[in-house]
Amino acid sequence: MRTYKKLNLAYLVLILATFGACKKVINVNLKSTTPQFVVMGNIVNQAGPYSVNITKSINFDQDNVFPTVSGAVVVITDITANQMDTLTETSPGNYNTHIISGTPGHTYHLYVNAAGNIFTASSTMPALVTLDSLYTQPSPFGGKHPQLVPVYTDPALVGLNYHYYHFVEYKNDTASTSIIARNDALINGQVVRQTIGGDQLNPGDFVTLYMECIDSAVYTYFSTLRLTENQNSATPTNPLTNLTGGALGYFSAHTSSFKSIIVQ
Amino acid sequence: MGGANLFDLNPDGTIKDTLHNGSGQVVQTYVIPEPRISASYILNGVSSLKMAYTRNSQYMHLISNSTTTNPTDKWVGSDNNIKPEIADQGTFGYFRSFKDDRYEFSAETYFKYMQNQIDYRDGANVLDNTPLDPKLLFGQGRSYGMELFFKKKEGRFTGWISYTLSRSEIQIQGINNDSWYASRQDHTHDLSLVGMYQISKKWAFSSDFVFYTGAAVTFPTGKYLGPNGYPVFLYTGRDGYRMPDYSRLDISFTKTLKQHKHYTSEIVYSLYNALGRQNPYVIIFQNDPNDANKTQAVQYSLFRFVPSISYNFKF
Repeated sequence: MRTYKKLNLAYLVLILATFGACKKVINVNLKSTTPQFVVMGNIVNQAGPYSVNITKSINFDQDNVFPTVSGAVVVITDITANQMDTLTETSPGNYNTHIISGTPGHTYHLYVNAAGNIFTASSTMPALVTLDSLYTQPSPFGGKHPQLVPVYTDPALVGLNYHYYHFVEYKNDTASTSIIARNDALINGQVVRQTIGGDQLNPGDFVTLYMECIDSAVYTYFSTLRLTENQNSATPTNPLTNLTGGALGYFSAHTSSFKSIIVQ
Repeated sequence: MGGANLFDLNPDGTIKDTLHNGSGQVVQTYVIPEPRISASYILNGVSSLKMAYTRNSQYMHLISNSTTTNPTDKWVGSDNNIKPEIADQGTFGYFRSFKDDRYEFSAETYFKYMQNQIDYRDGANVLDNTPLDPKLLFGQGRSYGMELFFKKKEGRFTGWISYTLSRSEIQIQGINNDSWYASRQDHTHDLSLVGMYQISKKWAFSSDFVFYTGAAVTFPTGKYLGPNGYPVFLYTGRDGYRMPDYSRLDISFTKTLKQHKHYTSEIVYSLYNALGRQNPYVIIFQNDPNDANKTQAVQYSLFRFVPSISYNFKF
């Protein structure tokens, strides 16, 4: 009996040593980078002020503290209403608007001059599609985490025009890391009940989902960002931005609506 | 041949027109002659010089990605957009044998120029089901190097050692600012050692060791603040990094069993990766699950030690 036990243990050790895949945190010697400007600007169909945030990139091995960029000249022009707004820096790296208002159909132009580096972008706010309701359903594969389903009616469009959506999920007031963007290429004109592949949900979680109607360039940004985030892209690159001048980030004029629920 | 949808593309890769060809209809014909010429010059009884030129074309293409997370390779045929890959190769070598042909040595250099090389466009998605052609870009390639080879052919101990120093690069408009970059096949150093020793009449030992420079891959260089308030990784070019170097030692003992009239048999005890080296399979960059303020690189490796026993017989 004793030999038998010993043998068992020996087999176990052998199997573990042989077939166990190994996972370890390694130190990859990555080059250090020249800090790059990161501009993120949003205009929403709700009362302002709207803000533009400017930071800089850091090296991979540094802590996640991103330097802010102060003293930049930031101007947003509502091209449709012919209205120009010079933003004021309200906190380091954060610039707020004063007079312009976010209106569907209007095109906005962003101008940033940060220490002589000029970045520009334009974005047109699409028509509002409202998030009608939000519910959860059991996972169809018997998993224990319920799925989140937003319901909205996608307006029918003719030809090669698409509606583009961006979703931001908050679980218990914490933003999800998931980047979720979709177009209506296959669901044009339908009532959409497509699950959101965001965070794992448990009964009792308080979930808020924002649905934004974005323009095509901003959709390209979020969809390429999503590939980069999961490293699912064949060729990881920085997301394709609508900013010119070499900055990272995006400038988006979008509509926004949201719903909150408690997961059952 | 037809029976599938083909695409007429704009220069930026968007689809201008979808062409449907009927089954059995010829889509595109490529005729590429493949001339080859070789010459050797006998210097004396034991040494010679050889040189050759060959042209090869390849109509099936392996399309690999440059990350380390998803080793998703795709094989595709040529069509109206994907042209056959053409390689022109020139080689020059010196060959010599020693001590009544018991030892052999060779040194060869080569240069290869390749046309119609393929790589993914920036930001291409490999996991969706949309047409492949619009995700590709085409360019040229070159590789050159030197191979050294030494072999002991007779005696109780036999074996060989080979070493290759090489470079393999591609240049494609629209990737890495149109400059040359290391291809996936680029392994600067490639060393292989094989030895066999006849211990006794019954027992033989053999071992091989391989080492090569890690493949060129794309890693993030930095990070920045993303839309949801989390770090987004910053990339500064394709294939700018290397996987860690790969090395592995395998050993085996062979026992020849009793000879029979009609058959012979042997048992082989072998150990794959005898040093238990953790060669990386993938490296994933992620947020540190234990510290929201940090990011980390995690390496996964497979097959530390793989022992095996096999029984061979010949009749």
